[in-house]
Amino acid sequence: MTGAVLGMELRKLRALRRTYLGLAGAAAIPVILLVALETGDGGPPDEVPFARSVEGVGLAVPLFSLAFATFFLLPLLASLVAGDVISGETGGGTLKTILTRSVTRPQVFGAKLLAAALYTVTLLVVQFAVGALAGSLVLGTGPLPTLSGTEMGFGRGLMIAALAALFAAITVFTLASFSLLLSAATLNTVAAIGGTVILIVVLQVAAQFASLEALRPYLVTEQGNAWFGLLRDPVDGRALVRSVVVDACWAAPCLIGAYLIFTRRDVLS
Amino acid sequence: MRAEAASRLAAVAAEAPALEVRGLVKRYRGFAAVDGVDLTVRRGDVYGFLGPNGAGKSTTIRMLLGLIRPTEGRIRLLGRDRGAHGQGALEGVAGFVDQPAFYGYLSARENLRLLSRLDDPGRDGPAWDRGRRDARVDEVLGTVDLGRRAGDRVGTFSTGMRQRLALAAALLRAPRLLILDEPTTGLDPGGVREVRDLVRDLAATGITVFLSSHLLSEVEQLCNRAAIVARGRVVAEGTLAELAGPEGLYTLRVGDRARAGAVLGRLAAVTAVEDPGTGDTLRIACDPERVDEVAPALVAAGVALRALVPRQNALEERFLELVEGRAAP
Repeated sequence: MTGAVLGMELRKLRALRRTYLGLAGAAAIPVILLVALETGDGGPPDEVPFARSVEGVGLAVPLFSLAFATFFLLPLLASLVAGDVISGETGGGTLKTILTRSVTRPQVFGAKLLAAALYTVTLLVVQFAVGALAGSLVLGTGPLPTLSGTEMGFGRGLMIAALAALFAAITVFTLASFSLLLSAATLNTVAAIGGTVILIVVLQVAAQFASLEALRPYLVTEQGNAWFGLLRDPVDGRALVRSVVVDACWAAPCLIGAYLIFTRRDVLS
Repeated sequence: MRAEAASRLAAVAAEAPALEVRGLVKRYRGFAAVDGVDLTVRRGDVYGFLGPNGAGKSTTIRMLLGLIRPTEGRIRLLGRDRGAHGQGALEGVAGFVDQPAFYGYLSARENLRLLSRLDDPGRDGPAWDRGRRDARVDEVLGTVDLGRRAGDRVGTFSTGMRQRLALAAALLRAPRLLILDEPTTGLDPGGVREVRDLVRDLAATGITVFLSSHLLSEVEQLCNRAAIVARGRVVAEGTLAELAGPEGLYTLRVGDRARAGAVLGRLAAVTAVEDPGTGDTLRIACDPERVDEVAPALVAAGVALRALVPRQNALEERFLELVEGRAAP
């Protein structure tokens, strides 16, 4: 039955304009960055990883976009769906239509969660695919330099860059799960998306305070570049695992909270 | 042994009332929207749940459908306990509450196809394949006369069409108990008639119908039994004749009210005389078999009799008394 509800969720996503808005946004990020890099006079900013190495390295484009977008843009795009899967249904009154069929609330919740997760992964895949394709076409297929100073060939680089995108999806989805919680709690899509933006900004500001230095490694927003571990030689597995644990510690309470609210709340709309 | 026990359970369930509600309460921060409702709807009934807006009808139906949790009380649908069976209690049950809602950006057919996949085909039916489900969607769309608009987006539908689509969505589940919340609200006269005809046709096929309404005339036209609900409580319940109260209430217009009252008071057939104290009107309760004794008695006593009419709208008066909390005469 969860499969049937998931099919329904995906059919709805296919029919909604916002779905394509998000995907277009994800596709636009690497293109805009590429154009900016190619036309700018002063060269790329120093502090962005991989920006220095774009000369002749097409694969730097998807990685550069990832470093640029995982902190704010991608979580925001993922929230367009995650922040609406529950509140959109109650707002339109269709939740009661679904819940008077043979499906249970946990099944409906599971399907909505999966739909939001699939959409997040799709965003990352689209951004990676567009970035890798555009980068390779414009800049070429030169070997990708690692953060440890070594190089890897195009084939391996392509695989690592794809893995990096999928890995970044974990952090993006963790932030989207906060959106899902707000969607369930407030039944208001604008509040869910806006609340997530506020959370991201607050955590990023908090990370700037020296007195909060000790907290920094545990902030979800600081996990946005954990995929750098994949670009070290050898791969820094500990950094990757650590980041997954931190993400899980943020996502679990959000998702459990959303589940409890969704399965217990009176459906009044 | 288990199969035997299961079939015995099924037999018990088949005999159980279609709907049984005991001591149902829903409180919101101390305010009781539903305040101890008891209902018994037998199989085959077309049961009216009649009350003014805000009486707790929709709240009750939301609890029947499992959308909100009762504060207290028990609900059994087709013999299955709502609390113990969870969503499984809705097997064989379909309906809607408030304004039925669909995905406006999808067509009517697509809405129903998606919903049909969320239905358990039931233990009795074979596992339905997609083709059979889709064929069933077109069948129910035809039943509610939406066949020609099936491919149009629901966002373009009128209120009446949405109401009929909601009925089609309910019929998809091949229900034995249909729960409808104000199915004709917001419809034009033509739409009201169509929906009422449809409900009548469905009831004729043996489906038990539980329908809420704030319109007495609707309940009178469609239902054989009804509960009148006011301020969260059932204030009267029974067949429509029982609800209308005793027969044999008459209104008289006479020349001399006081003398007429005295004459009628002595007649054995007249069990009560009500004198409003002004005008020329008297109200009496009289054995309907012997009402023909009234006029000769008045004429013999020299009292002019201008009119003798049976009380019309007895049910309506009773309804208003009950829901407005006026004392019964």
